[in-house]
Amino acid sequence: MLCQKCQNNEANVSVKTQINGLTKTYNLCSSCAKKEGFLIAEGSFGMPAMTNFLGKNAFSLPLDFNKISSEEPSRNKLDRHSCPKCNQTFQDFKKTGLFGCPYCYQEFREVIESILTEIHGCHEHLDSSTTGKNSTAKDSAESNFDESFFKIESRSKTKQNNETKNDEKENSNLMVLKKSLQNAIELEDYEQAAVLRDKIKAIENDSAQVDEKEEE
Amino acid sequence: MSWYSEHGPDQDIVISTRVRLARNIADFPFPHLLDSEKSNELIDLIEENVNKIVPNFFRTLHFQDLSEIDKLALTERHIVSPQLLQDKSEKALLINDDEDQSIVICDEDHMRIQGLYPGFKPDETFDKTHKLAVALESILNVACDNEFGYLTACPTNVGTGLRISALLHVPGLHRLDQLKYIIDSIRRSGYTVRGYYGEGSTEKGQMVQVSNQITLGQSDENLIEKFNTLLNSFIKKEREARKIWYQQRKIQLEDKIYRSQGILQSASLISYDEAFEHLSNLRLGRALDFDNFPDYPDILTLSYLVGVGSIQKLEGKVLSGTERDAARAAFIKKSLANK
Repeated sequence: MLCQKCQNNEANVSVKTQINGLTKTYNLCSSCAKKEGFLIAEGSFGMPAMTNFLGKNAFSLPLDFNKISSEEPSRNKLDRHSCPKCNQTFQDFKKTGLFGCPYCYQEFREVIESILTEIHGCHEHLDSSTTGKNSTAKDSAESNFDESFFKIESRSKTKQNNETKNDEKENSNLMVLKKSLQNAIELEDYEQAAVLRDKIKAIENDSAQVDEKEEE
Repeated sequence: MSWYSEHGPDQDIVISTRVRLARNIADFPFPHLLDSEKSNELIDLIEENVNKIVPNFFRTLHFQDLSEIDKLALTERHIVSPQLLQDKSEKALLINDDEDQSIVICDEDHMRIQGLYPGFKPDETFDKTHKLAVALESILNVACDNEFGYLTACPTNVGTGLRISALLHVPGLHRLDQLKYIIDSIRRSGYTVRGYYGEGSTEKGQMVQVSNQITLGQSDENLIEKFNTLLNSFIKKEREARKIWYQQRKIQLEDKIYRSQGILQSASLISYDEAFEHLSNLRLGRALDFDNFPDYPDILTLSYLVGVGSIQKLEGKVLSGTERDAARAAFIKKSLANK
């Protein structure tokens, strides 16, 4: 099998990443694996290239686009399509890794969903303060226009009245805790792992009790 | 007073915490497509609106008006990245007197709102940065989408637009040859580990920068909480490593640190890299409670002020390599004698 990055050498390193709950496996040659920081040279400090696999450089990698292109034939037609606001084509994005203007996200919405999933493991933003920007942002901003603007110590958390949003947030908290638990175990920080395990248990017990009550 | 001359939590290991929020104005193309006139129009628009929120809080620096020394000094104090200065297009920096809050205008995105804090304080760093971002959103037409969140030039920043990072001093894990395993594990969890100057930089003084990679699908709070947990484990590991190192190689470690102190106190010529390496050892000595060692803010301030650009700024003139090394050595000697 050829290396998914350089498409030149034989792939001899398999790299598994887990981001936002999405597990991916990349097959790379040892040279590309080293460049991306996944293979550490013997006796080195362990920070060979300081680049990241899914960061900006990912857009110069053929692997993401080839993979999606083969799954979506419409992508080739899309290459020549341009945004009516900034005239940037999808091909331009593939070259630079940058969109031309905010409207590009509207224009290339469908394909952007798969790009975002490729990078972030999902394509939906989770934060009520953005979706309800015009009202919530304004309200909290007005209360900040005083002298104490930069002195307020406590963190103003966005209130979510919508129950569905609350559930989403709880699920996502649980997800975060589980991920943190996994990190703690990997780092052999068992003290922290025990704390996280208890937190997860508490949330799971709470939701089990709510379910029981609802059934009654 | 500059942020770096203050104390902060976990300063034995964490030098600074940084939060950056990327925001764009809906009606403008992203910066790489803006010509000089349009960039200046955008800079004026943002500057004007920022001044409505916090009058006279920031001063504006136009990058094309800055000397090479000024630019270098900004990178040495970690206010802007070295890459940013290589790009010659119109850019501006709004920065406050303490230098803990700034907005870079027309970098990859229209606005990069940034907050810095000494030591490890993710919540507070986020708060002060987020407050400014929220206030700006109320008067500027910031680009955001119900599904994707905040829209950015590069899709790697879409969603929250939040990048949180911490700069850590990790000589213990380095010495015990454990750092590579920890870095490997952190990377596999979806975080980025970089060198002292961030993207593309190499190691310096056994310092590493850890930041989140994912900006979408999790709320700001979740991202901060996860980062907090990960970094706390990392900090704990470094403390354990230092303890083992000190127990097993006490005399060698003391020798290394006191030699560094000796060089800093007596050298007549010293390069930036050499000074940085010894200041890093001095920081370790402070963490191990060595007698009469300077405090963390003093060490950090020194390491910022003796950079290639900063030392010339301090002297108020352009210096040759040897002149810089002499000025640096004299400045360090004098500063340490006063502590």
